[in-house]
Amino acid sequence: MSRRWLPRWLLVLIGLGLLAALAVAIAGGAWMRKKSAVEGFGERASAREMSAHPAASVRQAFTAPTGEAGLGRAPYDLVGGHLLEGFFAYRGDSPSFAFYPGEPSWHGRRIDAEEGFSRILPFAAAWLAAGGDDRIPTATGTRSLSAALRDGLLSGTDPDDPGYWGRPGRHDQRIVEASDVALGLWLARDTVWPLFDEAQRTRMLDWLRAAAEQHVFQGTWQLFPVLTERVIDYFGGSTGQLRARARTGYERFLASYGGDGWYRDMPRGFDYYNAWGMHYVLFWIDQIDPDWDPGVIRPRLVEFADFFRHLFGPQGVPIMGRSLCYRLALPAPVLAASLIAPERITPGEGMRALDATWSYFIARGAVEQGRITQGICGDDLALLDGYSGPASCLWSLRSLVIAYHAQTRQAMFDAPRQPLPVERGDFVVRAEAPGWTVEGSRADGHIRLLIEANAGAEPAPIRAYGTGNLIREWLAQAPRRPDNGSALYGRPEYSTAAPLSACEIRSQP
Amino acid sequence: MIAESLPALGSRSGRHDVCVIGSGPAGVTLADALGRAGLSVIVLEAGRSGWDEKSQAVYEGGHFGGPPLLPLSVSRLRQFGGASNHWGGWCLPLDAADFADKIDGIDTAWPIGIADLEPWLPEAVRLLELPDFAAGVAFGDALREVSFRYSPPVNFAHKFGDEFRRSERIDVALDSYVTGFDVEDGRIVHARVRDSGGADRRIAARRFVLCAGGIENSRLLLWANVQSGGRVVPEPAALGRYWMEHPHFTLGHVLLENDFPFEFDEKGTVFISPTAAAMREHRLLNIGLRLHPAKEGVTRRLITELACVAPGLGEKVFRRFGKRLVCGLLLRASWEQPPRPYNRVVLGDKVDAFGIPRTDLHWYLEDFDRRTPSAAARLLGAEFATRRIGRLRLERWLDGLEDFPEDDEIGGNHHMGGTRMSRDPRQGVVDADCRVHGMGNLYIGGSSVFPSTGFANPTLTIVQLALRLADHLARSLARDGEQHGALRVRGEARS
Repeated sequence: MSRRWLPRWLLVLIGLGLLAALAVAIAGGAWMRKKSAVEGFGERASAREMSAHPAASVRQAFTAPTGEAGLGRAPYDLVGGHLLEGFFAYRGDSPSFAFYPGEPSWHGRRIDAEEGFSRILPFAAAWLAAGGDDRIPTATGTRSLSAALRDGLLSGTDPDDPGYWGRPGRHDQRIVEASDVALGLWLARDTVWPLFDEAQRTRMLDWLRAAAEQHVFQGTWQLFPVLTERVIDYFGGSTGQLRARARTGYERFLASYGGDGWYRDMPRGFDYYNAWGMHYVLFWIDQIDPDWDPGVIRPRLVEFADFFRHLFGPQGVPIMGRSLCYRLALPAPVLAASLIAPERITPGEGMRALDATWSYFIARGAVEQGRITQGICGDDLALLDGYSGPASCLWSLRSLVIAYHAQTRQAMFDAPRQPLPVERGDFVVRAEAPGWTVEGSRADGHIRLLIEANAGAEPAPIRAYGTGNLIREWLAQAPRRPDNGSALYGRPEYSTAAPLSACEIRSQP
Repeated sequence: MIAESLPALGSRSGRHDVCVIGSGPAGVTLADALGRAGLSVIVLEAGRSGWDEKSQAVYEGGHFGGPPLLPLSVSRLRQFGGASNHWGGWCLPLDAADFADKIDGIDTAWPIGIADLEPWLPEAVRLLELPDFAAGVAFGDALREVSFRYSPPVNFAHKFGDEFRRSERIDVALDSYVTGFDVEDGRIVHARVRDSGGADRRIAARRFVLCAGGIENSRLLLWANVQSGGRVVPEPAALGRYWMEHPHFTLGHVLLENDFPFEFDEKGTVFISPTAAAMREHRLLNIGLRLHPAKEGVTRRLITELACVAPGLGEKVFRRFGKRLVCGLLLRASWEQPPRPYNRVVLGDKVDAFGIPRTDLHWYLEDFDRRTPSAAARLLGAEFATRRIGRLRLERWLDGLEDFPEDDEIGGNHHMGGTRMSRDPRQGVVDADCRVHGMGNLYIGGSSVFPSTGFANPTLTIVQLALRLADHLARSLARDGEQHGALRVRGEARS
């Protein structure tokens, strides 16, 4: 049988064509990769164990049995020391950056490292204000916290310094970080601010002013320039124009008010950003300038917290929504409300919510290696948003910032703990604005959150971070984590009995 | 007479019945009508007779918000005749629905109704040299075709310049920048005026009317309040606030399937707007959808027609070459914004050459500003589909998938609000007679008093309001015991 071959010249031509197609595909892939690549995506800092404040000791302190007195202050000083030790461990060559281990965000390594400084700054400042030790023991010796904060602030706001954070631009992540820098400066007004000379103060306020004048996204973002401007004003650096712009930004934000103390978060609607975002920032605006809008900020905070406190219990919180690695910050509005209206929500109840939340999550791996882990319990890339980097989750400290701030006025940590609603009895409460119903069962301590808008919907499963994500990230050199929006927002029910992520209690040493 | 400065008016700069501040369409219409009613009027114009770079620089200011509007020194003119030196001449009266609350939760109501302005329409039409208006024609249940009319466009400086020069009753002083007011017992006794040489003078009158423009009215009153400790606008809660523009954007294009059932007007445009019932039902504000024939070269038209068969592919190809895909008709629109207190004029940190704070304009487009064009375009698309006229392809930003495009027209340079009309002094600056709440003899003319805007270009309404204000002033001065009769302009033919 004869076989008919294609002419040789045609085979050569086909071969050349295939080679050309391959070359084009490779070049195209390289071009795409270059286009999508996030700065420093391939670089990861190494995780380190803390030697002066080991994670195991922290877990032990938060899981040891307590009486009515609650945890007291010591466990919080221990976890604070652990995290401040972590800050020193991961601090970069420039003192304005801290390169924490973990998965990067789409903002790039430099912004991620700026967050490493800016997101621990308010806690560090509140720690110092509350009489916390300035000398932080670390693996390489004892370090001065106030000196570290001073050096970082000077470096980050100096355009001629290698550690300069860069001038904030439109819709820039630096606008968010600037509000934490501003809050940190205000909280450190008696400890770090006096260390600067006039020129240094002017330079820092100039950097903050650049952030306060930028365009922002709708939602929580609208509040960041307001907080920043109020701090600039506190230090005498604001102007009529900047003040008016902050007021306009604030009034625009108020348009997102949905009633019952709840604000709509963009783009999804009602979620826990009310707790660690909106009410947290509004609380600080009110603390910095009590005349700003007390008739609106305070009653809405108290109304919100009066409902929100029902979500806390010894079995955790029914977690939903985005940015879940901020979970330790959830008690922030309850603590804040206990300062504003102690007759409605006692400091003892606020501290009990703090104890319960920190104990629950620390027992399950929320604090390790001098950092806040990137998930609900430990690290979990399925639930980590693309905008979250290794240090983003330090926003979890927001509840502690309020607790340490409160300690400067009253013995907050020693407040006799009051039982949470679920520890007092069964309950069903409802907030009309978000359409949320919360049910608590005293018998088992579990709490259910029912979302009316999702009633009847099939509960969407969590999509795991898999090999496909890994390959896409390698190709794009950028975060390509799963979109779990449906599971995080679309379920009819979230409960502590069946949490989004089943967490194991970490073993004790 | 028209004088290059106040001193050049000589003895004529003494006390007048009415001092009009600003010489744009509002100020000139008002002065002309008052003069015809036998009242003595002085018009103070901050600019000169023509464009002047230094004078124009006073209008520089900031814009906080977005998307970006034209620079404030470009969108306005500081000279005799004001904005009529560069307007386009497009005119349409407001709808009856524009004076009411159109939908729940958005305060668009005026304290007056269309019946309060209609008597002044014939005279306004005559002043602006317009043909008569035609009633709207229903296009389905939710829409109607409306017809704009076009002024030549009338330039008020040219139209009234000679008359004012000859007038015994109307004096115009150029280079006369009003920088504040002297107040006694809730009345203005003097306007403080500064010329370009820095000399200050005071002008007395029985009535003062601020017609300086849709931004300057707010700025001057804000500054006057700073200087006077709040005595010029005693109820300042709304001062500078509720500032509005007509957003102007391309919404998409229409692929025609059958003959287009409308006739294009002389500007090559067909206007469609929603009915009051449709606005209520679909929760949108007033809007003028504008259909324009796409002007294409032959080659481009052929490519376009092919691309329109597969719009997704066509869009990509056109974007690759930086072009916009247009199939048959271009759909543009200008529409009404909800009045929002935080869209406002404030005093900036920088000062002008006279030491007065410049404007910092806070203006945002929000999600609801997408809703009106999006809902209206969908109503149009449904009607086109029902009648098999064609189908719409809408821009992505209408669905919130992209920001408002910054390379579009964005605004119509229609500066409205800031000193809005209201019954309640907490909600506005002037009452239904355009008198500043709490002041005996200070009035405001122009689009800054609009509580809401409809979608119609504002000049015709500005002229109607100025004529109505002139009538009110003539009557009120007559009541004060003067010998001036009521203004006779209704239906009166002028020589």
